[in-house]
Amino acid sequence: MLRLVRVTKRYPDGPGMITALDAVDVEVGDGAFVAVMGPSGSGKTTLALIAAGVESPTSGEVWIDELDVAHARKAKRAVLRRQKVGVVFQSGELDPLLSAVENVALPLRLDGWRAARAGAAAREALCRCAVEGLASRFPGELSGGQRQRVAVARAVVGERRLVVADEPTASVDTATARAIVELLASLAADGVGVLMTTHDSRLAGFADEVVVLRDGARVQAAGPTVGHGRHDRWEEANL
Amino acid sequence: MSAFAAAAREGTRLVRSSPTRSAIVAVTIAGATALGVCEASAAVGCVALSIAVTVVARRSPRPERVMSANAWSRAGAGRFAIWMSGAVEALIVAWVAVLAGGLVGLVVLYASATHAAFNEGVTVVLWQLGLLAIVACLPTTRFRASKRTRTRRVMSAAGVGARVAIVVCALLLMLSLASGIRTDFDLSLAGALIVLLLVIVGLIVTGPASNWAVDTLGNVPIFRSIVAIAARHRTPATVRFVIVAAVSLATVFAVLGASVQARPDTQHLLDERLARLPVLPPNIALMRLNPEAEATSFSFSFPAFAPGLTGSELNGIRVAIARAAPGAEVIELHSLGERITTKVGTSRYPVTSTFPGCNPCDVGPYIIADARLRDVYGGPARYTAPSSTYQLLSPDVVGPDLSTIGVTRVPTEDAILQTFRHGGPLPSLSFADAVYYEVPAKSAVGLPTTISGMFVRSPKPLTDAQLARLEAVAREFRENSLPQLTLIGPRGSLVPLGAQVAQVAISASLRQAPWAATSAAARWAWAGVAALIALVTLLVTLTIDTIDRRRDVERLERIGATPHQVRSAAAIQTALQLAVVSWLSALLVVGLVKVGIDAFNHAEPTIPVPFTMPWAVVLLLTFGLPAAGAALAALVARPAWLESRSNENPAALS
Repeated sequence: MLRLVRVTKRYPDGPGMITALDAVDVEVGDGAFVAVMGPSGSGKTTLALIAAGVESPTSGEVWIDELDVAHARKAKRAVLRRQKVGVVFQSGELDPLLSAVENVALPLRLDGWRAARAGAAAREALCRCAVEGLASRFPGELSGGQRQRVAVARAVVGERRLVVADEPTASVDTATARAIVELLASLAADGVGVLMTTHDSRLAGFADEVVVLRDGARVQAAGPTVGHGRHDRWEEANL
Repeated sequence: MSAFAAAAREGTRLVRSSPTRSAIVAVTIAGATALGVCEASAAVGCVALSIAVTVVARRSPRPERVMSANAWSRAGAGRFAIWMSGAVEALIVAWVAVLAGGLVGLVVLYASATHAAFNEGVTVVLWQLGLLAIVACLPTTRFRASKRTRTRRVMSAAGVGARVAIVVCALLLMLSLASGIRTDFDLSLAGALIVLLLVIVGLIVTGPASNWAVDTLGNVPIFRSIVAIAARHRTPATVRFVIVAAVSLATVFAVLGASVQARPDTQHLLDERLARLPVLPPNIALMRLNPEAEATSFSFSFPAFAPGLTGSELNGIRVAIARAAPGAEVIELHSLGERITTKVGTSRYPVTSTFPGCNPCDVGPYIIADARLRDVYGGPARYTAPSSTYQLLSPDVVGPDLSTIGVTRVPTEDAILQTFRHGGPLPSLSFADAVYYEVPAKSAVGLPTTISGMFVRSPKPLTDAQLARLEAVAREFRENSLPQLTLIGPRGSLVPLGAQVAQVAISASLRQAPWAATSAAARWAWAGVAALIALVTLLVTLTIDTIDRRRDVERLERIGATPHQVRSAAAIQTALQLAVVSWLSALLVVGLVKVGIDAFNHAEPTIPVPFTMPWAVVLLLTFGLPAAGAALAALVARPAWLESRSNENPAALS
């Protein structure tokens, strides 16, 4: 489904360049739940943005199904995001002027769906994420956890088969974070590929595979995990 | 640190936090101020543009200000402090820009213009400072997602009802005002009110109409995705206000101008032709006493009663005339009073009065009928006197209404005009200022009469020598005892020499009216200025909007919107809304001008004003403006620098 091959990303930094990612390989298959861990500045968000096609790598390949995302045009990558790849951002990034169901339906509307059909699909996605009761509320009326659930619903609405979640639990309490990760795990169980970045080793324990980054380079991979509470190894990896 | 100091500091920080935005606002205001200072005729437009830009900048929910407001709110700041920081920010940008632009403009004026122009420039700067300070005090915008509660739905329905009522009342009032315009005076009052009402109606109607148009377009499959973006944000009322006002004014001037230009200038041409005609037959002269003085009241004046000649004066004049023109007959005029006339002159032709109830205020004096006058005028008395405004100035005597029985031997102005319009021959003599309305002696029983003048009728044409002698007689009596005595010869006034009292007053051509663009160039200039103001306001608004919505665009693109969709949404939204605004404005204006012109023609059928549409100008405003706006919006909607900000924290608005 998703394959990153020796992906490197460099940003201009004053007179020089800073390497955010250095030849990283990651693969997420259908129904796989892969967690990317690392301290702040390790390149997790950059990896997630490149995986979702939001940004292009400086070098390397990014494949989603048979499409070379790294070399695809911006418009093509945008179509990919609204049809195949859902993205969950740290703080949800919901439109404050749209209700929850309108937010979830927005990618489908951007894809040319009728409003009614998109709304029905959005309600279904909200139901899948157990927030169907919040459909008519606006982001300002939701708690952090509820916002993230709505954001997850927006990421899975339609026929997306891959969800890229960038620190989806960064701004919520422990219980909510756990619930959100469980939601992502359940999506993976339904056949959706999930790539999640996090700095919380306990949450990474839900993943089938954990990729550890430090200073932009992959230092360790482990997995697949077998269930909850298997985070000791990641802590040992100097996180 | 006091709350004021903290707010001032935060306002300054907000200015610095978005330098591009602040610079765009400031440069626009400074440019408008400099132009308004240098060119007085553009001052109103420049001030309007500055206000529009400041309102947009102040009310647009830019991320930095929203974050600032939220942070202050969490820190315990009251609404006043939050408002003040925003007000300080707007005030700094606006005032610095006005002072900078004003300084540039005043330096240019100082070097090249007069002291008065310099003072006018200073006035523009002061107005700018004052008005923009008021605008800066507008409330700070904060995001408020509207939950659709029952109360809100009821309030919304009530609001719609109130708007419909306002629009209906305004339309009725505008129709009534447009139907009643007859003079420049009417136009100056009613026209201004109509434009104000037009803008209010346009502002109320175009908001929902634009939204409806955008939503309706969303039903077309190929536009669905674009409308999904466009429908989330609406064009600010400020922008609609500017466009409605600009398009309405330009359309009014263009349609009125084209209609006036298409009107045959018959009245003016006729006046010019009549002015070239001889006044009296070659064997006739008119010697008479003119009114002593004019009593002025408001903007028009009343001639005092013409004094009559005493018996000795009359005899003296008779003897002198007999010597000057031997064999000539003297036909005394037994006057029944004097006429009321406008300040413009003593013409028997209608003149446009600045007094609404007195147009025309022009009828001739009344005399006792005299059969000998047939030889003077060459025909019977058969033309009735105008009845609209005549008042006999006899304060102590109540007599018959002379206007219903007075008749003259000179064709009335209406009769001449109708003949002229249909290509008929003009009379050979104008009888300018020599028209008398004759009343049978039996109808004037009891009314005082005076002999205030006399026709001198020679059996043969008066020679130059005879006219010179008559002139000498009139001058002698003027100098000795009758300073009001005048003499009109066949070719016009002889005494006083060179006076224009006997000339035809040439009515001003409507084509010189200041309120209408009566040339194609003027119409294009108006349309161009309107389009320019609308587009500049739009450009500044779109630019500010794009800066303020960059995170929104980032968010959209992250969830799958393409740059093309973002541009298309901005273009289609702008085009649709400009089209709705300009079409509605043009439709309302054209309808009102049509109603006004029809009502005018019905009331003043002499020379009708045709309703003419300057199609090219109207098409420019209704199609060219939306097209240009769309192109501009697409250009500005997603600038390249948006790309470079993609690594910023996008969480600001969530």
